Amino acid sequence: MSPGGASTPGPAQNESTGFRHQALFYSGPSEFLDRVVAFVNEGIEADEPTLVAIPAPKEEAIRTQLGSKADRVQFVDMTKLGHNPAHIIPAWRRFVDAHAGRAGLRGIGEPIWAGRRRAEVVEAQGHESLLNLALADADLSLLCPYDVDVLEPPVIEEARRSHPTLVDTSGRRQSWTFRDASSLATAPFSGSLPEPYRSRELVFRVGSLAPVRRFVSEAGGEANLDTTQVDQLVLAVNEVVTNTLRYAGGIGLLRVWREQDVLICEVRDRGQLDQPMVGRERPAVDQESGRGLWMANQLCDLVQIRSLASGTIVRLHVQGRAHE
Amino acid sequence: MVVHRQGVTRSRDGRPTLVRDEAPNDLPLGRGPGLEADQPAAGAGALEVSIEAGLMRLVGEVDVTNLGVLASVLVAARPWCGDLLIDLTGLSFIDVAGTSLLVCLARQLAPVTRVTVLRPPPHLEMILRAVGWEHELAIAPGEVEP
Repeated sequence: MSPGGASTPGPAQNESTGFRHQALFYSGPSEFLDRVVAFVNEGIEADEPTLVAIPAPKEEAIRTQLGSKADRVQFVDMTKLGHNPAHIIPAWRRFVDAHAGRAGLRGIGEPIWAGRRRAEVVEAQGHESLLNLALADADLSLLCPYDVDVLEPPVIEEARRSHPTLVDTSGRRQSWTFRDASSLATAPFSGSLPEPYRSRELVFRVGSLAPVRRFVSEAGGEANLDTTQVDQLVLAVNEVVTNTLRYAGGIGLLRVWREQDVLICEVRDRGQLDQPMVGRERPAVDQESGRGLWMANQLCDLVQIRSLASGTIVRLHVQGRAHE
Repeated sequence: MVVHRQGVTRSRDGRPTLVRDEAPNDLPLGRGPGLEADQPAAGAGALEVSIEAGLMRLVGEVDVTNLGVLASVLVAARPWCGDLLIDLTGLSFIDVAGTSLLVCLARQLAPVTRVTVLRPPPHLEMILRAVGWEHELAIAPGEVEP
């Protein structure tokens, strides 16, 4: 591997079996439709179970093209499923597990579209990389469409790094900048997050959970979150803070701030997270650890995790809907 | 009625026994660079528990600071051989660990004893849904008789 992290062209993935993670770079709705319908038709002809997870407005045109064969395809609205990108891998896992023993599955997943918030795009990019780890054992051909007309060039560049195979008008080829999953296994939450302009802070430690909940509840009320959203955020922060108290030194810093209609709560502590799939695997009833971040992902619109030797940051985003 | 700082005691006349716990606020803590310690644990979650044959009432909040008290109370509830109603009307918060204790109790006592929780705080149902425990714990929304 080169010092810059770019690897040799992705040779790891066999072309006909195993997990085949491909980025489709398309330009305009008609090219999207042609490519996606051709890919889905191949699966139908091979009798492969197929799941198409794309923004719902695109579904109707695909159904029309497929005609009666559309009934053999499962569609999911990615703007709902992938609203929090951490929900996507569990959904693919369920799809793979539901067809255990079948040779060959097929999927389309479009997690990044125009208009997503910057933080959502960053986490969706992280999701794309994690897929290589999460589904390494799956016999799944997954095509991820990227609209080159509307997405920023850095988004396309990152897609080249997270997909070993690229597809566009010139055909299929291996990605020269693909970054394999081994880096995720050792440092899954590297990287930084932009600092807020200003925030309110509360230091917490053992015994101060009730003030933490009051602090979050007041911030949620001021941010015009509805009652359910406030309860959800209070619970999510409580669980992340509980992790700090139990596993990360017993002291931490809570910060809250708003970005437009989104309320963000950040928990900082001196612990370290090194399990790449944390928060993406449903915990068992008697499992003590690993529940906090799963809960946070179920209760919040977005969860961002960064963990370095110096400590861990967990940001919980909730988008206000009180006045929708 | 008997009031204790910690543990579970049954009163002689069979009336509800109250267990009160407040989180310790004097644990030794390190201080990290850039972190200013908050005031000592003012307002740590308090939990009051009363137990009567077949009826348990939890009042206050359940979190990691008083989870041990809930665990010991639930152990004490196990010998009861009839159905068990846990009234959560006065509970304003319960975390995932507290909810999992209730779910584990319900599992262990089934099918002989049915555990039902009454008027839980919204967090409990959020937890049951998020972790997939919806069918593990019966919930009654109604009023309990005095």
